[in-house]
Amino acid sequence: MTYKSRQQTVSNEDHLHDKDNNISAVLSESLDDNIKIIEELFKNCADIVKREVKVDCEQPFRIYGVYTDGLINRDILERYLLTTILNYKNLQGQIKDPETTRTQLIMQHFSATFDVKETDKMNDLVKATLSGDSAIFVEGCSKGLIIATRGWPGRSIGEPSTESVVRGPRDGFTETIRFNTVLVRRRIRDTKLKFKAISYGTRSKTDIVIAYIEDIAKPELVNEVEERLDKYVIDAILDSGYIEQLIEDSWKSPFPQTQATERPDKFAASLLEGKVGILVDTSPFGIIVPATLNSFYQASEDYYQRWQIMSFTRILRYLVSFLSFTLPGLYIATLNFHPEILPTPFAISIAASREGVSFSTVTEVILMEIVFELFREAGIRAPGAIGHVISLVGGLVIGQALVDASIISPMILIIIAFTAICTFAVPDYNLTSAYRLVRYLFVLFAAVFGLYGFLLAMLLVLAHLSSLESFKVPYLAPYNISDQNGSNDLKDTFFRFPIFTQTTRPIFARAMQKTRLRLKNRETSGDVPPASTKQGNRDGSDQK
Amino acid sequence: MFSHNGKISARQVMILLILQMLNMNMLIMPRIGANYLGRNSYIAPIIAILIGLIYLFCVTSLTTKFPKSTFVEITKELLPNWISYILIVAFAAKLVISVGLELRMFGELVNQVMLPRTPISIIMIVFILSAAYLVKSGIESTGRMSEILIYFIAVPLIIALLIMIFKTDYREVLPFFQVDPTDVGIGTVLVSFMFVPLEILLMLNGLMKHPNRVRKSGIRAIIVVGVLQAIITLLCITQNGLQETQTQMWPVIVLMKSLGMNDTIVENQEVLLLIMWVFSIYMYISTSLYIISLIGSRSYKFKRENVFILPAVPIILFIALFPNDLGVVYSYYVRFEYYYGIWFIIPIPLILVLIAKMRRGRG
Repeated sequence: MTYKSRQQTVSNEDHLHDKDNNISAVLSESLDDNIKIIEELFKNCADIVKREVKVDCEQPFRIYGVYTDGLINRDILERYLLTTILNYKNLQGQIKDPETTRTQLIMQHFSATFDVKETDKMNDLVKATLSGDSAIFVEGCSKGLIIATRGWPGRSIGEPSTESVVRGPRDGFTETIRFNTVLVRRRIRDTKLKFKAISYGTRSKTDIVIAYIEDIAKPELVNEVEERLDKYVIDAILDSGYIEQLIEDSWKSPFPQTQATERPDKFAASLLEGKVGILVDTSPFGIIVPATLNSFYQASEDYYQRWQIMSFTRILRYLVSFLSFTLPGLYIATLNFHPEILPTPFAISIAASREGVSFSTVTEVILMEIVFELFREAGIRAPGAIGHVISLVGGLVIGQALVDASIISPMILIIIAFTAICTFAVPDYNLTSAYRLVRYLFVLFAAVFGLYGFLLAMLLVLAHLSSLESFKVPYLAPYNISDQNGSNDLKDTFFRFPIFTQTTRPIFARAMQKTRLRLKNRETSGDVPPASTKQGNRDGSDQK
Repeated sequence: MFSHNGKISARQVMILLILQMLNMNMLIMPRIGANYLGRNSYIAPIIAILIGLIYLFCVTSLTTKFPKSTFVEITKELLPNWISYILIVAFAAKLVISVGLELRMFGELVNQVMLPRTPISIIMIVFILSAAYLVKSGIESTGRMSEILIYFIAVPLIIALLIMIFKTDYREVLPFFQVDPTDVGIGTVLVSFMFVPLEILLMLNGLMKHPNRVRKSGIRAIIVVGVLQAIITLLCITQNGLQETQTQMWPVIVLMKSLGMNDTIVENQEVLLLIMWVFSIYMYISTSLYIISLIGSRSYKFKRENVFILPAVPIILFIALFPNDLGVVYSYYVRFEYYYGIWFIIPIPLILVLIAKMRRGRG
């Protein structure tokens, strides 16, 4: 099938729709015509409620309301609109006949809500109906009204399940985009925080919000996000994962090039660094771009606790994440090719533990890796309680049984179990998923070339990461761009320096908005506290 | 955001130069120095720094006149086409031969220390293909990679050197300065060949964001490498002894063996310390491969700079496999550097500078 014919196949064009599945039908002055169109559009749609009401004034006219059952707050519609219309007769004495149009009459006298707007597009009215608003068609008017009545049952704000903290806020994003923007707005009460709304997906018409702080985010970054979103026409966006994969720089890489978070505090902190966020309706995961490898190691909690302990935790995270993808390969390389680099008693102990095992070390490692992946997958997919049982039975019982049956050696069990635990120490799930894949590269190269192969695998991974970019920012920044933004960006890498030393924003922000922390009585920024006192004074009150 | 202009920073150039100059030289220079200067061979790299600065001056005196051009464009501008092509081909050939010989020595060492049963050709093929993987993404990726690898190389090296500095017996270097001045001269010049990779500035200069900083980068790189080489040579003499340093093919490997980390988590630590050296060679080979490809693409005015990477690989492998054994490749390497090492460092850049001045004089 040629590209052109495929394009034609996916076209949604008919007498009521254009090729992008927008409504092409025109709003008519005749209410009957409009009703006909609506009836045709919503044929066999049991969830759509339609009703015609007569407005009984001196020159009576009809209106036609449409909404989606379950998506609206019926209280708003019924109490503040329908009731006033039906009671219009009682008001006749008080209200003079309007000189304005009928739609304006409704807006001014019947609609007890701020959020009502007039439109002359059928597409807007239908889209609003499907989004949870109510559409009103008025007889004799080529305009309709959209009344904000959104109110569907949704999950309440709860603790993020994938990014728990000991200390820090407990609220997490939900599936409702408006709740999510509220959670961010509560943290940044700045008029320069912008939420640019777009609708994406020809069929799903999913609401997407591009969030950024106008004078901190680089305009070219915001444009780049918009351009990448504009590049595709897709039928439906069911989760932010779709967007993530559509806008990333390199689809070939297993490494995540955008950051997904459930935490509004993390999302807000990223915006304050000059990054751009994307929120997608029906997804509890916000996307942050650009994403660098370093950003995946930064957890929200790092900034809420003392810098010494969090720096220690950071170093530990880097170390164990390195082990999480290298340890099995290193074990194979050492045991198969260079046992002499191990202390003799240790080497003997490993050899003794392998006695009776009929498989090679490589087979053992690959077998156990697959078994653990299986446990992981089964644990996630199985219903809650059963999932725990699978993990327990898998980890303890089957693992021990495999050792007892001399299928694997105890050392392999330790290595694979330790590796699995190491993956959980990294705060980002997408990154650990990439490490899980990369681990097999190390196993393969180490199995063929020993330590030399291990080094080659490491060089290949580093070469890949060096060539990788996220929205034109090098993936390994700030480690390999330290000359471009001073050394300030390095203060939030392996070590999390004290907050008061992180005076400037990272490289993502605009140059004129670099300063994010300074002393009140100082014009210029700089590392505080000053060295004027032994302890240092953060407010500079003791300065002479 | 970052511009994608195929440019690298002055810092990246400095690191690339350091890694280029360290490569095999780090392992073999102590032996060359010890053969001429004996116990005092550690002074050779220090004096060689001055010669290295002369090399740098010669190369940059040309490149600073043509800040946005590479060697290819410079020669085409200054010389008739056929002469410029001869020079360009000669430069590319020199790099190809150097890389081929280095690759072979690398393969031999890996074969000896890490993989005694694996064919050397396989060791070299996977290595050069891995290097090609990096440079296919361009000079920006190569520059970024160098900034990362320098941590992996510098940290273990500094730790190892610090351990040895405190445990070595410095009486081995006595008596001081009892050496023939002629030997000092010859030895120093030979040791100064470790700075020959400065010739890549002829190409890198045109890829720098700030070409006016090229001299600063070069000076820093020369000093770092010179001092490092002096320390390594000193430790080879004091730790291995003079005779061992003069006779061993890889005195630095022997030095690493004497690190004495036994009874810790690793025993044969020389294998682990080879890691940093493998990284260094990787950057040397990949950068050279990129430069070779760049020469080709600039000569034919191709937009893509990585077109010639894969075609260069079999040629380099052929050169690498040509010598029979390590002894032959070692002698080829030393002789090649001796006879052809400085052609693109001193005479050719200076002649081109002269031609440029004459042309400007004529208006």
